[in-house]
Amino acid sequence: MKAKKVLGVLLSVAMLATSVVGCGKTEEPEKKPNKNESQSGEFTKADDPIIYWSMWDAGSKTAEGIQEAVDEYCAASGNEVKIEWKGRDIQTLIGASIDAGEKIDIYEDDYQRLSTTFADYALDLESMAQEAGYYEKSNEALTSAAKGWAGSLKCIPYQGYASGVVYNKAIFEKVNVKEPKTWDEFLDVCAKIKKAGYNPLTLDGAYTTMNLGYHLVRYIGQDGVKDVVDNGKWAETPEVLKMAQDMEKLVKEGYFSEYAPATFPEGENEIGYDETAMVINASWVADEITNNTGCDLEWGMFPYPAVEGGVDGTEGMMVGAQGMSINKDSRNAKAAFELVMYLTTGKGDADISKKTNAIPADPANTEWPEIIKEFKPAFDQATVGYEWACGIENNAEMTPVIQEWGNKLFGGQCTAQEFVDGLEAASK
Amino acid sequence: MKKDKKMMVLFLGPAVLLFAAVFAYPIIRTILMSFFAVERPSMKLAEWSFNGLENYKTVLDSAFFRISMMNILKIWLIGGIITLSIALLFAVILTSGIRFSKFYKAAIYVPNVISAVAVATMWIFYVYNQRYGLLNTFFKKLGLEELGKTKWLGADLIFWAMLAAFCFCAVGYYMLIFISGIEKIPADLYEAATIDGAGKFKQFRFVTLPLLRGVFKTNITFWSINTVGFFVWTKMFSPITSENGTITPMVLMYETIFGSKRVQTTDAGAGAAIGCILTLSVMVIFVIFSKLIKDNDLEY
Repeated sequence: MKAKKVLGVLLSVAMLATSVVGCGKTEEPEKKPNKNESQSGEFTKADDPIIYWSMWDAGSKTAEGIQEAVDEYCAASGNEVKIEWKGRDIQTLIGASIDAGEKIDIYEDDYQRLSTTFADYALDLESMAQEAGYYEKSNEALTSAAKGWAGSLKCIPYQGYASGVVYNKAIFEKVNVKEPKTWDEFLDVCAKIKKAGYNPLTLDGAYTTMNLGYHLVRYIGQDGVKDVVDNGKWAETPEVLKMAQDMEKLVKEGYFSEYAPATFPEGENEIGYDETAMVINASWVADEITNNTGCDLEWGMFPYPAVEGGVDGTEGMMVGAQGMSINKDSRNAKAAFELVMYLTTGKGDADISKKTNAIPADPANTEWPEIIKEFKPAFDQATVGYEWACGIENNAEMTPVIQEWGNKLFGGQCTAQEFVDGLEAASK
Repeated sequence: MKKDKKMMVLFLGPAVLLFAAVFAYPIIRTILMSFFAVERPSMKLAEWSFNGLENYKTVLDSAFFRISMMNILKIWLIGGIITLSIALLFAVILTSGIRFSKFYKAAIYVPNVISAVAVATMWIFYVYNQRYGLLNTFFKKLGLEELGKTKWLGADLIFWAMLAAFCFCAVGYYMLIFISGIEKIPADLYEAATIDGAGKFKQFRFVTLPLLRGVFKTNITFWSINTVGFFVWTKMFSPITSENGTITPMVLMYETIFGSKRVQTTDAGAGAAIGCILTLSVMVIFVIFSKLIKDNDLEY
């Protein structure tokens, strides 16, 4: 009996010990100061592996591009990098994980969110950026926007995008039209394309607000758009009605595909099926349509046309990017920053850009991927950067209402006046 | 029998501790959080600042929240009536001794086995698609050109399109519960009713329905729990930005706590308030239905 009791106690102890060991953190190194890093040649040597939480899904083209560049960095620096592919849900994980003391050196997300929501978690990169001469190797519109939100540089933008009117060049050549600069020229192009038997424009419901925002921003500028949506000045601002009337005209003239606003990505896919000529969207759409439809088109992009009497012209462009931040508690901050620089400037950036058909983050990488190479002039001429949807989504409460009325307007289910009245009523 | 307190502690202790850690602690923390200004759910208690009922005021003042509550109410009530009615109808038919009943049972239940993401994709692209979807093709074949051009996923119809797809998926599950309830009813009750001259409808009305009271209560409880957690369908029908026709409180709570394309800021306090309001609503529904539907008072 006694032996049984002893055996029971021993088993209990063994179980407890197993549980404790099983629940414990694996290979958790002792917290060490930054002195862990030592300079060796071009790269800082990090004793601990650099932990990198990525916003991409494992196996995606971007993940493959990043992995290849990271492998090159590891070979060159002798540092070890552990990448965790967290996917787009990373935004739900970053805050809680860092708060819980998770060891993360680099993490990614939308560059605006990194500079606003997650800015408190990020290391101020200003001095390291100055030291590395980063500002000479970056896009000023993106870095200044990031600094504007956070008050200092809290993330390094990459995978930037340009936006405007993306089109199938073959249709433009067939119809013999040039890229329009003004709204009247744009209507003329639409008329000719329609006459040639194509839909001039397509639209997915997911981008309704962006289409509305882009037209309104031309009339009243981004601050004006934000004033309208934040303060409910839909009826008080005559340009809102003008914008709605312009959109109504596009619908009435049959310039939109009969399926617009379609379920994403069906609308944009119409370009790949050679049914539609243009879509108001961003530079990623060319690659997206090519992947969705298997088309082999020559793509063009021009800035959203200027409207008569508008505040902003074609120099204004909605731009954005993803970003990389460094955890403020990182013990490998310097080495991590060098890795970020490796991925977002010079050869690493060029390789990732080529692999993912994305705009290079480093302006010195002047060779854009084949599929978007014609987008460069439009991007280069832009001097005014707009936020997502040109500020029309600034009021989170109103966004779904704008989207609903926008879908009605583009679907021909309401008039321009009803659109304005509907939004005015909803904002009160 | 002598109670061994040590054994009780030994056996119940881990379960109680786990329950406290996994359920009680998050519930208490969420309730507390709803009264504090908290940006992120992982913020330490010391960083919270008391906010009184401000979070609840913010949430209740939000038109989007009110729309989301109205949507979930419609899903629960209208979707519930449709789903449970069809489920009951199928259950009665399949227990009436028809041929191939096993095959039909399996076929109707299949959507429950498939991931909601796959089923939603199927509905979006193969049923509601304006170009080649089942509905529009069907109407065009019938010569109803106007109906054949319907934008099922347009602003006016997206809610109903989503609800129909959701109900389609749900019917099989509730049908099985009804079937198990019907099969428990002794056959001699039906024999007696037949001898008394009751037809099939009267048997259903005066025998089956009264004896399924408890099953109805179970099904309504499960339906309420399932609809409150309405999330995936919204994300599938409006993948980039939630819209008025598809938003539900659960999605709104997620977007409020973690941010989204629509909301760049995070507010865990307001998110917790949404969670508490939702829980309270469900509890009220449970209490009402417990009062309205009594368990079977008949033993058989």
